[in-house]
This record gives sequence, C-alpha cells and structure tokens, in this order.
Amino acid sequence: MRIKPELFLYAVSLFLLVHVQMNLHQFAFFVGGSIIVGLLPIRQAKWWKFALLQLAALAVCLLLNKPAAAVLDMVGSIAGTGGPGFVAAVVLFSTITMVLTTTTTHEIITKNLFRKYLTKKR
Amino acid sequence: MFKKILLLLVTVGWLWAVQQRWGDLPLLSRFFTYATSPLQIDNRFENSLELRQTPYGTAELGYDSLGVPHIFSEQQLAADYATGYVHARDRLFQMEMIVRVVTGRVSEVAGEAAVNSDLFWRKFEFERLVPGWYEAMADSLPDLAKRLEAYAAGVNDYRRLMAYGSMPLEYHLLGIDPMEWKAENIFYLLKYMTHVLTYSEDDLKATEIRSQLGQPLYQFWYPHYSRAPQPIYPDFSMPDSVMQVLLPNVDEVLVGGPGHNYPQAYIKNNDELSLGSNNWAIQGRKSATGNPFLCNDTHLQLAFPSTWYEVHKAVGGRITRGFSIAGSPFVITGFNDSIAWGMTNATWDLVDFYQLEVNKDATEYKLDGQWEKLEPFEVRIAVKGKPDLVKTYYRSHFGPVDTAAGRYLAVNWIAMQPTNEALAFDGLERANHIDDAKAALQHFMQPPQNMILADHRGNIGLMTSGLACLHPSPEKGIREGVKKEQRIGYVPMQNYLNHFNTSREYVYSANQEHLDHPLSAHISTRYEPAARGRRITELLESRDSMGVAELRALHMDVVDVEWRLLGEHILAVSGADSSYFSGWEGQMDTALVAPTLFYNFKINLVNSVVRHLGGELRLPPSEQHIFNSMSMDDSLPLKSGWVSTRTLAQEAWDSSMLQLNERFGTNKQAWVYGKFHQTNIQHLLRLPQLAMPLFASNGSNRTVNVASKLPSTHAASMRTIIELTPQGPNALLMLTGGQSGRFNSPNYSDQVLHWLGGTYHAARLERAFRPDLYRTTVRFNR
Repeated sequence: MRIKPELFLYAVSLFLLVHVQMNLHQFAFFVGGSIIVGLLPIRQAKWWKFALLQLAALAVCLLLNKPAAAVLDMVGSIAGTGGPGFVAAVVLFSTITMVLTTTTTHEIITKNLFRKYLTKKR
Repeated sequence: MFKKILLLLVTVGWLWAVQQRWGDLPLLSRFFTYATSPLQIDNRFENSLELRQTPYGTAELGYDSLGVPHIFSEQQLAADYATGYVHARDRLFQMEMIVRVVTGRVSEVAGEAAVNSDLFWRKFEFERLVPGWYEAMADSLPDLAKRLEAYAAGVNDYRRLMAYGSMPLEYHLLGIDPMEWKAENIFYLLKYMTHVLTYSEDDLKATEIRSQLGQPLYQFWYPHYSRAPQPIYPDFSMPDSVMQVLLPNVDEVLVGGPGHNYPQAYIKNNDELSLGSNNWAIQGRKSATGNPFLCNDTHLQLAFPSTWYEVHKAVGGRITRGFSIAGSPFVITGFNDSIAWGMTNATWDLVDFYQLEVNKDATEYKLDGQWEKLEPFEVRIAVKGKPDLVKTYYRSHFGPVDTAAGRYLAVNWIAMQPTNEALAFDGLERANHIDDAKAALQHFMQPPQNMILADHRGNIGLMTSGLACLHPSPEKGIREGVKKEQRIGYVPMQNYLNHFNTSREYVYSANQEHLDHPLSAHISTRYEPAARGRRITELLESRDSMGVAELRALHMDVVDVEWRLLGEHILAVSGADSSYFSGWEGQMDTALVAPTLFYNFKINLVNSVVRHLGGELRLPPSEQHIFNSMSMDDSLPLKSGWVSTRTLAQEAWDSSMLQLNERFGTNKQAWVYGKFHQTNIQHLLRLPQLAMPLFASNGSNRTVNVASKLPSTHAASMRTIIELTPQGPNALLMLTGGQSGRFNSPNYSDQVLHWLGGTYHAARLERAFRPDLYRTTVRFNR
C-alpha cells in the first residue's frame, strides 16, 4: 500500500506539534515547530488545514495531559475566563500563533521553493 | 505579492505583540500558548522517585499526610541537600520572592505596585554587600558554608529536574522562570526577617509629632517607660557603673522645628505594635509529668504559604524537628534529642535617622568639622510594563542617605551589620545541653529575639539574644549627624538579659518590655502591650502543676485583661447596654456581643484621644499607655486642656455605638464578635482566588491566642508544646495554613482548621527510614 506523501507529512506535522507542545516548554520552540511545519512540502496547503492540524495536536495534548479540574478552575478564575473559557482562550491563541507562523512560512518560503524545484515547466 | 507582505507583517506583529508585557496582564505568549500555559500544571511533583548520583551521599525522605518531610541520612550534608530539595518542591516561589524583595527586584516581575518596596531595599545595597559577607563567612567557617552549599545544590537540583507541570502557578502568572539558588541567599532571608521584625520609621514621625504637640504633651503621651510594667526579667538588676559603661558617652542632639513632614514614613502604629508572639517554659517541679515543657507560638502574618515549614531530620540517628524557613537548612524553632528552643521578637528600637549638614550642591556633608564626600550611587529599577526608574542615593558614615522633606537623612539600621545567625542555628541543632544552646546563641545578633530554652536534664531558661542600639538619650526622633561618634554602635545583650532555672519555676516572654529598670528606655521606648504577658503570668501562677491540657489551654486562651483597665469606665457610660458585660471578664469569643462592644470602644477611645491631640497623628500614642492612663488618672492632658477620663470614655462609647449601628443594624443581639472579628489569610501575591475567604475567629490583639488587626491578618503562625524527658522529646506541633505553597497540593491549606480549633499533631520521631509510613518518598543516591 502506498501512503500519500501529504498524509505522511500531515502525520509528521502532527507528531512534531504534539511533541513540541508537550515537551519543549518555550514559546520559541513552539514558533520554531510551526516554522518547520510550514517548510514541509505539503501540496495545496491552506491556512485552515494548518488550523485543523493544530486543533488536532491540541486535542491529543489535552487527552494525554488531562488538565486537572482544580487547576482549570483556579487558572480560569484568576484569568477571569472560567476553566472552559481558559481552555478555549489557550486553544484559540495557540492556533492563531501556529496558523500565522506556518502559513507565512509556507507562503513565502515553501511555495517559492515549490515553484523553483518541484513544479514542472510547461 | 501584497498579500504575502501583509501576511508577513501581521505575523511578525503578532509574534512581537504577544511577547510584550501589557500592563499587569500575564505574558501572553506564555500564559495562553499551550506549550507554556498553566494548563500543563499537574500533580506529578507528588510522585515518589529516586535520584541517582546526587552529590552529597545517600539520603531518604518521606512525606506524611500533612506534607511534613521526614529526612534520614548518615551525613549532615546529604540531609541539608534533601532539605533544599523539599523546600524547593514546596516553597520555590516563596523563596524566590524573598530574594527578589531584599535585592529590590520585585517591580520587574510584579509591576509598579512594588516600586516603593524596591526603592526601599535598593537603598541598602544588599546585593552589593552580601557576596562579600558570604565569602568572609566561607573563609572563616568553611563547614557552615558547606552546609549552605549542599542546601543550595538541593534547591537547584529540584529546579533543574522539575517537570514543567510542577512549576508553581505563580511563575506562570508572572511569566518568569525560577532563579538559580545561591548559598549566600540565606543572608537575604535573614535581612528579610530583620525587616519584618525590626524596621520602622517611627523616629521620623516622632520628630513630626513633637513639633505638632509641643514637648510637655509629647512627653506625657509618648513616655519612655510603661506606667504598669510587666517585665520579662522582673529580677533584673545592673549596677550603675556597668550601665554607664554600656551607654556611650555621646552628645545626642535631636533635630526639631517646623517643616518636618513625613507622610510616607513606615511607622509601627498600634496595629503593628500588637502582633506579638509568646513563649514559655516550665520546670519539672511545675509540670504534671515531672519533665520540663517548652511552648512557643510565633505571631506572623497569616499567608499562603505560611512563613514556617515543618521538617523532621534524623542525621546519623540524631533527631532535629521543628519549623524551618524555606531558604535556610536549619530548624529555626523546634527541638533535638536533648534540647528545645523557641523565640519571640524583642521589639527593640534598631533604626536611627540622622540629619546631615550638606553643602550647597550636595556633594559633601560635614563630619567632625570637615567636609566629607557624599558618595552618590544610582539605582535603576526595571518596572514591568513601564520605563525603568532611576534614583540616586548617597553613602555616608551614618548609612545610606535619602532626601525627605528637603533634608538629607541617613539611616542606620541593624540589618546593615554583617552578622551570621546561621552559626547560632547550626549550634542549636547540635546542642546536647542548655549550656551548648547558650553558647550557640552568643552568635545570634539580629533580629534580636527572646530565645527560650529547655533541656532533657530539667533546665529551662530565657536569653534575649541580639544587638541593641543603646542610646544615651532614650528620646525618639531624628538625630543630628555631624560627629562620627554620634552614630551609635550595637551591643550584644545576651549576657545581660537572661535568666535560667528561676525560683518562679517558669520563664516566659510575650514581646513586652524586658526590664523595670532605667536601662529599659535606652533599649526601646515602644514595646508591645503587656496584656498577653500579664495573662500568661496569671495562668502559669494559677496552677502548681501543668500538663499538656493546661498548656494547650494557655495557647488557646482568649481573655483580654485590658477589660480590667477599662471595664469600670465602660460600665459607667454604657447605660442599659452594660447588661451585655454582666459576668463577662474579657473573653473574646465569637458567639458573644460584649467583645464587639469592648473592642470597638477601645478603637474609638484611641481615636478620641488622637482627636483631642489635634488629629492626624499617624503615630498615635500607644494603646497600652492610653488604657493605663484611663485606669490611673481622673483627667488627661490634651490640646484643649485637661479632659476627664469619663468624658473621653463617654465620647468613645457614643461614637462606637454609632459605628456599630451603621455597620450591623439596630439589633444589638446580632452584634456578635464573629461578625466583627474575622480572619483573613492572604496569598503571597494577594490573589483573592488563592486566599481563604474571611472567617470568624476568637481572640484579639491582646489575647494569648492573638488575632491582630481588623480583619485579622496576624496570628499564631505555628504552635509547639514540647516535653523534654530523659528518654527523649515528646512534641505536639501545629502549623497555620499548610506545608505546601502549591494551590493544587492537598497540603496547601489543610491545617487552617487545626489552627482554628487548637488541634495539634503529635510529632513522630523515627530515627530510620520506613517507607511504609509515608505517602510519598524520595531517595537520593541509592
């Protein structure tokens, strides 16, 4: 069975994003990880596909880490958003950051490389 | 192309914006990005684990259900390493904040609200001085330095190995990472405690108030001696010749006149002067078991986390247990196999202000008739979300110099002395006998403490250890600073202020005056009220034999003996409401109405006196002096002339009733003390979510079970009842709050109810590690 290269690249991206967000606890690593995803030669990549990818990565992270209810309540009450509101804010914020970084990298660097090396000249 | 440029700009703008600090908001890139957000906080710090290749040998520790660590090792340094580890696990943020406070680096993480604190601390340049102090200590006391280094290594190894989910929430909120711990940080901790226990700018206010009132009125309302002393050392005597040697022969000149106005002065008002602590020890002859007992309860600000951290160490089979302070490897108040020790604050006057005579361009000041260089130094304070703040201070012979009310004022504060209290605690931990403890306490200099001692051979004693600044003139106020000798030096007092195995069969202290002797006022003129001391004496003398139940009852006693000073006035002016006081003897109990009426009357009585003195006295006369005068005199001198005490009482009663009516309504039956007097346990960062809601509590600022301020923020922060038997110690302990500084730990606030109800836990004293006894274990280097 032949795996589609796009599917493989999305899987790699998902793994990378989950790893970065669960194990490398610095904003710079998260941005770096997003840039690497943006550099992957994914054809017909769109911002909303990156958004879905990040949402999937966050879902995996939350499932694996399972934030405690007490932590959620406390952090949510300090942030003034409530526990679920805080999770929503983190998801939204992380996704915006990832989508902007990845899409910009992809649009400015990866697509140019595509054009130069991977697209057949007619 | 345009779209791509726009996308790039938006992305760069976003990445830049989320990494900026916006006002008091947490750092957005950190708080709301999943990779770094507090959503990652978990309870893994509670897990048992083994750490290999730790640098100081084998140690094992287990946490019990209250979160108390029991540390076992054959080597002292391994135990110190483990102590650093457990302090970091449970109190990392608290430790960091103490260092940040004393080095004046809070504003950079907390914003503008901390600027005044940072400005205050930077003036003393501890960050410049402490490394040198530590180096000197390491040269002269290498073994002690090794203990501090092992402790620091334990803190840093916890910090290094800590999973991200174990980072305390406060770091996420402030957007910072834990700092590296240095062995020298113990000096910052000591300076911090010296500030809590000694610092005030009462001298500034005294100068201001003296000008306001005139000398005769000032002299009456701000006396040098208590009118009804209840001294800690009632049998003290000192030949005049010795006193003359102790008091420096210096011409002290107080400055005065108009223009002295210090609205920002940090003063110890009556609330601050009623915080207190208690300790007492009874000899075997007075004890129900025939063994000596030692009890201590230190009154500090109630907070999450608590100042104290309970720890049990068994090093080479030898036990030390008690309360430590995170940042230091030592048990500060507690016991070992042979002795027990505890403390109360000595409340001495250890801050002096000197007015300098400065030349026109403020580059020189006059000293012994010569112009000396006034050495400027600049402090730059980083403020979160704001531009840096720059301020210039000066160095002088009298201490750091700041300007206030158009004057150059130098401050000489005991904290500037490079003393080393670690040596005293090291000695106490190792002491085998009360004489060893006395020798160790020769090294304890600041903040001066009434150290209580008992040993397993039946000895008890009290020794006030620390440096006093003995002024030839006891008058408070800003002094002239034009001669070198005018800067008063410090004298260690432990060899003068002590008594052991007294004929009374007990010793005690409650922050009151030490002496009924002329020397007293040269040490300080503003001690804490003697009410607690009077009550302790009364209860200790009321029984020939006391056991645990009686000693516990003494800790929990809530009788305010000042009722005896004011009761007659209150009964005379309260009309029909006097029925509330029928049969009442000062019990400050939440279920009663009388304590509400009494406490609020006292507040209004002080306000009434202040009003008659012209109002706006931010340093009012001491409550104790007012109440003593009310009970001893028929009329009192005030600005308008002599006013009868009954008139003052009536005014106070009327205004008090008006206030209570407004606050609680007209149904006086509902004015129970539990509504009036509530306790507030705050979080270190003053976050209400991490604090405890107000709750009713017994006691007042005059009861042995103290609860100071309204709402009450200061009370017994721990309690100990320790029996020293020939076979070893038995101890009951209690900590207010909880062991852990982590809100998600089961030990964050689990002991609050124990404190409220007077429930102690028996100290288990295993000498060898038994993993089955503990909830969680950590093994080093196995």
